[in-house]
Amino acid sequence: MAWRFLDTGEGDAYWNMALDEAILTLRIDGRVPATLRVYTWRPSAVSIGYFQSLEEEVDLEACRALGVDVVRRITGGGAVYHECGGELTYTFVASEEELKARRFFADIQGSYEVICGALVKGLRRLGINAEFRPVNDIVVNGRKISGNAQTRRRGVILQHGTILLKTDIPTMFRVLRVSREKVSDKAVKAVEDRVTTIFREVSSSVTLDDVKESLRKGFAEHFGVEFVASTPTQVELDLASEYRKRFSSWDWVARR
Amino acid sequence: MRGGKLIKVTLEVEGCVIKCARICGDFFLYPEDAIECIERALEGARLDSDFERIIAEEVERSGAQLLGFSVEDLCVAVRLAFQSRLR
Repeated sequence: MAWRFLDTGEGDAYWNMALDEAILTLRIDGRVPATLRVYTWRPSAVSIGYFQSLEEEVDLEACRALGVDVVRRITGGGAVYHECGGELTYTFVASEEELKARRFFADIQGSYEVICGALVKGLRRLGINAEFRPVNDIVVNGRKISGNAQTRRRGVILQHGTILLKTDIPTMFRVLRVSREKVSDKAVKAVEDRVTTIFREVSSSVTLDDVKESLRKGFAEHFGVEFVASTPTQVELDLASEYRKRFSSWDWVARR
Repeated sequence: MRGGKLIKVTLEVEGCVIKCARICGDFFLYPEDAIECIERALEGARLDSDFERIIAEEVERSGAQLLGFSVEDLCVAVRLAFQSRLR
């Protein structure tokens, strides 16, 4: 059976996270096939990991001033600044069983490696010498280009992550509290040394569509399955609308 | 942590007893809501309690799997948080 490719375009933070969870729920119920979704964020947003403290990770005042949304993910991992136009986010949802039938893995770390292997193939199609770096990163010559996070429910894995096209480090420093060393040249340089982007590795002429298509082909090659372009079902959209209320609620965002 | 992840434990302590525990960080734990079970299991523990046993038992009971950190790492973080509250 073919798997599904969804390009859902731009969405706000709450919708983006809600649709991810809707796909997960419906995959558990067997109502949608394994799915690769790609999307972007408008407005720019910060997503924090399930276990992170909102107060400690995010400068809410700066976010308000800059019009940056803040959302808590259903996945662990770190805080991410999703710059509108600066990155592509993907979500991959599949059952453990159907994944293992195509690419065996023995444990959770192995499942990250398998799914990230598909991303690596996609990035290599763009001429980027990407490789997986445990626990959950993809790097190019030691510099991170993609961070990834998983949740697992009833035998189904959802992994999502970002692929950087470019970075706006000064804004990132303003909205995230990860580095308290102010926006010094040194701090910016330190991030530049640890992080890289598609524009830096290849060229700024690479388009979002190029990246989406490379990912789709990378996943297809990696898992030996065709990814058929589709749109979310009405049930998915309705469920996502329902979930969106939770993701945008203060109770959820500030629960830690 | 060895897995490159950060764990921050915040404790409310009364006397020498944990009243409330909060474990935050950029780690991975499956299922995610097992974190609340671990936090609850720590309530009532004392400085000289066997944190490793308490956490390991709760991890096993909830069928939790850790990625990017270990039970031992978490114990170290709890002990450090406890000691800082008593200082």
